[in-house]
Amino acid sequence: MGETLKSTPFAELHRAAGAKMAPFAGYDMPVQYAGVLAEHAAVRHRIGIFDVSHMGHAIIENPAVSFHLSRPIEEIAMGKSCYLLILNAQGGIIDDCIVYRIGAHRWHIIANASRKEVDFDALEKIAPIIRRPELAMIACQGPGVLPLLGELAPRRGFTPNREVLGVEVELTARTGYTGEDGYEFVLEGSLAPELWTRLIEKGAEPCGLAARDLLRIEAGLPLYGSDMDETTTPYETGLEFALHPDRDFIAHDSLTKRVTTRRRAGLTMPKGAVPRHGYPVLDAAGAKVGEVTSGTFSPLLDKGLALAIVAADSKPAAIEIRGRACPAEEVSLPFYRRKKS
Amino acid sequence: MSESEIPKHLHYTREHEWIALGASDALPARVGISWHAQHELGDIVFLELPQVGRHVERGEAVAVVESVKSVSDIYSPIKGTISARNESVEASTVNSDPYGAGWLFEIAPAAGSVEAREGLLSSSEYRDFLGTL
Repeated sequence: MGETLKSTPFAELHRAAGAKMAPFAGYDMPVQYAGVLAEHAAVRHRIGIFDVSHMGHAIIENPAVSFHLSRPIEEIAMGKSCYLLILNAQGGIIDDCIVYRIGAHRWHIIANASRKEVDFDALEKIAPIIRRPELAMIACQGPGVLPLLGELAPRRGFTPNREVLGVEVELTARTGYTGEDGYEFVLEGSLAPELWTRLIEKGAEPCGLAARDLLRIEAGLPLYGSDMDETTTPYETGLEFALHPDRDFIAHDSLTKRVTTRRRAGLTMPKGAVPRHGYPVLDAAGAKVGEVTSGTFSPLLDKGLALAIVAADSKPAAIEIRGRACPAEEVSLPFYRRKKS
Repeated sequence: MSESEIPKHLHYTREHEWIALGASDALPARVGISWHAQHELGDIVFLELPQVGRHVERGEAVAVVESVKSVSDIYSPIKGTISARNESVEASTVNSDPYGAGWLFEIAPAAGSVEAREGLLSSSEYRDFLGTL
């Protein structure tokens, strides 16, 4: 047996529910329960819940860390969340994160599981941060969430220290990774299984990482490691909206000098062979102009979907799958946008 | 594992295909994927089946089964010629009925290939093999 996997507080609940488990970022995580398509339907039509306790949490008290970030955390309004990037000196992306302004000199940052150690080490080179490994997180997403739980937090914001179904939750955030409305609940690991169980009793359906990947691609949301990495800049990955470059920060000089030759593209394909990470993207003449960075089949749109990185001036027309050029169409992102009520 | 998951009358490969062999190699052999294979793949969304008339070697990749999260090559369990493909099967039927309506293709076996049973496992041998995974 290889290295010991870490467990989230829900590991026993997942196994008891018959989840198919697999290693992810060093954790034993649920990949699926009832099946990807059933879980996808739960989130798009009802309420789906995800154990995302593998992700990393830290408290920032010194805004000097903004030097390493794509935008300054001092500018985040109290009670609001902000999507931003941790950058390196070349303008490459170390991770994407969400930061919540919880006090005048206090921010809560949530980082990807596979990058949290790298992220926190980078920030600590500038100022100390307080890591919070005891925190767990449940994402609760779908059109049924607000009707069930009410408006617990404002749009793009959060509510600190409130009870949800009688369980004390440190951060109730109106954020998510699925394209649906809902919350992410950040709470003490020891309290988390109780909240999970109560949500299930209220009809929430457990969903795994496979469904999560399908949902976020439909919503046009990138995944660190697939769609961006330390060699890609915000300009090449459709993330320039998260960048305030005109200030003194780690990547100012490199991004000013660096010529951007690539861009992000969203592509759809008719139902058939599924586009996947690494597959070549071709133009109408059959020349390679880029690569798929994330791909899936969408049961909602009944099409193959791909996020890709392509030459800035190219017109993608096909994706090469097992040696065949399969027609693809570039569309604007996101692929799916929920109806706003 | 129940009988419905590893039917006794079929043979299996270590790549998780099943094959329904006739009494002799004059009879076409039907091929599909096992219950274990469809369970591992998850929700199947697309199939690429081989062309009828194609000559195939034992172990040659001849078909593709795609689920949302992964793509799997399907290998021919015996040497022969593709004699039929399950043209209009729904991808999801391969999950729900892998041994019945979810069959993938049929092979006219090459002379001697049925008798040789090379690389083919009985249901109890396949059960034992699954236990080692």
